[in-house]
Amino acid sequence: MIFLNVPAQQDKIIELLNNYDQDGLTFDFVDKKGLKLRFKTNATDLDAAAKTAKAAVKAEVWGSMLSFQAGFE
Amino acid sequence: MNNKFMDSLQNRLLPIATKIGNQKFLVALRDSFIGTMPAVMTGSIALLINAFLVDIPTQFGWDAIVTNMAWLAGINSLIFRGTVSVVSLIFIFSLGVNVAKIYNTDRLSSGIVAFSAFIISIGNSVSSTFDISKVKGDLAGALKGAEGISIHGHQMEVTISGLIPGSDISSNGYFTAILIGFLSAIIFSKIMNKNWTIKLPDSVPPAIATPFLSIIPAFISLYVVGIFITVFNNVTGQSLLDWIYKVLQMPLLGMSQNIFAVIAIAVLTQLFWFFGIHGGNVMAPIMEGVFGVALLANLDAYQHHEAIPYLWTSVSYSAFVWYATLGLLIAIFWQSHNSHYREVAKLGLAPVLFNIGEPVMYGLPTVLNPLLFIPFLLCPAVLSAVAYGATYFGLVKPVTQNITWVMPPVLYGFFATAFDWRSIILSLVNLALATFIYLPFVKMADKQDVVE
Repeated sequence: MIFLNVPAQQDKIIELLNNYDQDGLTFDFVDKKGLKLRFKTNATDLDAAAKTAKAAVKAEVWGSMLSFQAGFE
Repeated sequence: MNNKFMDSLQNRLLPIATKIGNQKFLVALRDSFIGTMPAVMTGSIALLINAFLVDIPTQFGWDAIVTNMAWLAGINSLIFRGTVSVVSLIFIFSLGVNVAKIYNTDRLSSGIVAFSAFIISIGNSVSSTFDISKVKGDLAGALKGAEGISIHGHQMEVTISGLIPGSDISSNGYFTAILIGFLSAIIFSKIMNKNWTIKLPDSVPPAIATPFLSIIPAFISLYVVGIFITVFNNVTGQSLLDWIYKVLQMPLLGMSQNIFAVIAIAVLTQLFWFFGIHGGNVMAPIMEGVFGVALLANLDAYQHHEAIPYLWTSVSYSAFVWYATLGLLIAIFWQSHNSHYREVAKLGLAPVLFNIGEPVMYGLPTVLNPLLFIPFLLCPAVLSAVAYGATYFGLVKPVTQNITWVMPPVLYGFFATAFDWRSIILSLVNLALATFIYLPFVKMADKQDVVE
């Protein structure tokens, strides 16, 4: 499970990661608790998956200026 | 504070931040400032080491240290001379490269074109005036016809040609570098993309073919700049750099030194952070383009033992304002009974001591937390006002050193002011203020915890 602590654009992030499928890596939204969005992933390296998710958000026009934390549990 | 207000504010701020974040020229400008960082930071460290080796020992009369370490101080001065003293040259190359990134064209050539264009636009001689009233004999007659020397009454002006004036390539040249850098690199990149280039056969290796492709765009770009500079110099009778420095750079930097501007920038940056927007990135064009230039001017003045020109710089914020989160943690440890707050404060303390706020920012959280909205904005306003006032009234020296951002609070101010011990008191006063500003809100969180 990876998580993103993100205060803004949560709906767009959920949509982006739910539809993410690159190099076989996928994310599925699990739940939202306050700022924390949790996603299931098929990746074995969760640290790398969290970094990929963060990079994917940062690559979006609406995501480039967001400040947020990505991690795994 | 109701959620409707917060949502409405966030909805207004997000598009602004997104626009700034995706404005390609502002991004190029920001990245160009950041691109100078390796050289600027190395020069700053050299200056700081010299403060240890020369300034502090001189203050205390430890002349032996100054004498024995003169060799190292000399090396540090060399490093400074090749970095901060020529920062406009470093920046202009960085800007040329970053503009080419926007147009997806040859970055190296674009950097070189911008560099050449900047040299075209600045002076190529250095003049000094000497008082010769006490000189006996016919000096004017003796020097008649000597190149670069002119005598008017008791003043002798000596002009040496073929030199790049040091003041033009220091922080004084920053705004000219921005204008000429954009002009030359945009022309270059657009012509490159129009394919107005010299075509070579496919058999020519890329290492040779690529510079050839850039010849026509570079030619046009540099001639446009050259013609523009010639017309400008002839029409105005002064150099573009002098004109920009007087008309744009000085007034803009002067405005930045107003207490209301200092507070407004602090509050605005924090406001963006509160809504989960990277305040540092959004405000970077102002923070680096204005307050960063003020810092470079202060660094240069400190190195040359001149009067420090600016009260407030980009590092002043880091030294005396941005550590308010530590005040929040002290307030929590001191008075909070909220178990979650105390747990996050314990985990967040070590990172916060090195100015890493994320664990507290998202753990507590401070972002989008209506309870902490007021102190989150009030702290930078009060702390910057107090620090500005202390500097303005001469209670603390202005920031003259560029310090790495992970320097712990209190030490940060001490190092940044070149070891002014009074900065320690200022830092502690600001820390106490941040603690007391957060305290009532931390107590309110206790009540909220009980209700929950």
